[in-house]
Amino acid sequence: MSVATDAIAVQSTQVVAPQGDLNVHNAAQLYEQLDVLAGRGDVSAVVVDFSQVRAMDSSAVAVVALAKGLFESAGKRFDVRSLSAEHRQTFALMPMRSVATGKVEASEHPLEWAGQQVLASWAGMQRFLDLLTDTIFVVLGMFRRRMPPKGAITEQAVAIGVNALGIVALLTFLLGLIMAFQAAHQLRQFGANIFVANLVGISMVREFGPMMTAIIVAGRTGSAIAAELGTMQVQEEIDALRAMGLDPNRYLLLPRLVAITLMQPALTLMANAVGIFGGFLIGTMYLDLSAPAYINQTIEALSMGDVLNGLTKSVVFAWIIGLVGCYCGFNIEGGASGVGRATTRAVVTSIFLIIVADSIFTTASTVLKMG
Amino acid sequence: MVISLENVVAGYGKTPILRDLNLELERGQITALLGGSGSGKSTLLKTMTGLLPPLEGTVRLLGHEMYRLDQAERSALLRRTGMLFQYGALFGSRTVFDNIALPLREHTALPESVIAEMVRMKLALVGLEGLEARLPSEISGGQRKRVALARASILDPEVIFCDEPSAGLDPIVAAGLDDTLRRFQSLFGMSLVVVTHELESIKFLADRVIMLAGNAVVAVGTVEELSKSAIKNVYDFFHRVPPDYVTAGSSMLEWVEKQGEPKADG
Repeated sequence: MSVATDAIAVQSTQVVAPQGDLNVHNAAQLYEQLDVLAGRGDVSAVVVDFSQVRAMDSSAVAVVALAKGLFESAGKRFDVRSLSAEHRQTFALMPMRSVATGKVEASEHPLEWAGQQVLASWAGMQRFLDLLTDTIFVVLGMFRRRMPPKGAITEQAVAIGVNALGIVALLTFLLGLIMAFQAAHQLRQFGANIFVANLVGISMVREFGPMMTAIIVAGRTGSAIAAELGTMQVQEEIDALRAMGLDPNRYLLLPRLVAITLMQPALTLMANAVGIFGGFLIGTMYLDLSAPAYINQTIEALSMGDVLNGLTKSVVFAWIIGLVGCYCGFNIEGGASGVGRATTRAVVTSIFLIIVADSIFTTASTVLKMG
Repeated sequence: MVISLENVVAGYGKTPILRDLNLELERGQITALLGGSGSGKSTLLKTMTGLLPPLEGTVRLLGHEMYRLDQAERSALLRRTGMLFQYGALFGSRTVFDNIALPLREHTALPESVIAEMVRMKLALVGLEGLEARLPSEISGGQRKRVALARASILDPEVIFCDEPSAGLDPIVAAGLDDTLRRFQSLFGMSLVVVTHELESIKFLADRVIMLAGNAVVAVGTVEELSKSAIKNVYDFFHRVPPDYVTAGSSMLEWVEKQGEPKADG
């Protein structure tokens, strides 16, 4: 039943008289009316008359409590009257404390917010450096026979590398295909069709092979690492490891890091080959280049330096993905929603850092060549 | 002495939850940590088990200043303890067998056949023989807790810490778990530190009770002593006296009662 309210002007005192049931379905109407009255300059007092209210729930008490705060802070009088015994029982359930001001906690000052963000970033940076230091120690520990648990590296290698073969191959094949098409369109105008092989080969091996693979692995594996470790954190599994005297970094981080360090270059090599094959198909089928000519041109265009450059990048990208994924998983805050946030953060941060690292690599290698 | 705390302030970050903790827990006893929600029981348990360094003070576990040890030494010390987490904290991707076998595989050089036999024995002790191949998601909450107890006890530790072992379990399963804990204590001479809310469990299990309230230890003694305590918090806990959240004179009714008929202005 909706609330019918009746405002009768008695000089500057307004009487609000809700009718019927006053509950969560219609308490908002009463609140809106009281809010308007609190803001009116010609009203110095308001009385809520409960004589025609049949039943009320705690939402009605909350509205009265908030209105009391509103009127008091505006320097106006606010009263209720004609409460039945049932109404009084409902009022008795609500504590006065939340009523005193009727105001929600004051919102944070922008400067305070900015300061807290800086402090949080600094704390996050410290935690990441801690993780980096721990990582160095667990990696060095491998040389002192503190190996990851038996079978853990293989298990992770299958999850990170073998299971990603299909998607990496498909996407890099399409990338090679697209690059060759785009280049063919331009180069054919100059009769330079054969250079499609150079463009596809060098682009794939130096840039797109490592980066595309890294982006796919970041989306697939980085998110999986963050989600898995985050869930383990929420379910106290990481505390359980610590309580057993086991180092979570050796048990969880090390196998993932070793596996991704081995798998990322392997996936990159495969991505390079498949991407070049995509270009080869376009070159031979669309540009009428002969297969031996295309292959010879690709071999001549590529140097071992190009391949090593791409593979070095892939190892750096692997560490970015592995460390960021582990960091986001270990430092989760909140429950299930925290896992979701950590997963998103792992992917976005990894991809951002991969692109930054790639631009640093490219700039450095170009400058070194020029030097 | 299994554990001693001297002037310990326990908490998270820079926020203290418990202050001035001075406790000594005897060997071979079952000690219950009691207190209402938010009283700091779990914080204290984490501080005792090496998971949460104290903000101040000294924690001695089995005679060692735990937080002054290096990682390897602390790890070796923690192998002499076991921890039963509130929700089991079993590794979801590992079978029951692998969960229980983990401490043996990591901390001993026992052959797999001996490990398998030990796992089978411990599972039998908690009444779960035959569930070795199941994943934690394939067993009930009560079974998960018992598997977690088997894991916590697999190295026959000198002390087992239990975080609310019978919370959320039906009375029969809870009684079974309490009985198992009691048997561990009497058969193996283990010390147990049990955080719990359950009065029935406390009465059945506890040799000694430590009651927390208002950021501090408010009472230490046997169940009988504490149930006769003159301290309100302690008495209320043992006699299930409900709290008065809306204290007299502070409800909205108080304000409503003061209302007279309003007078019109001007």
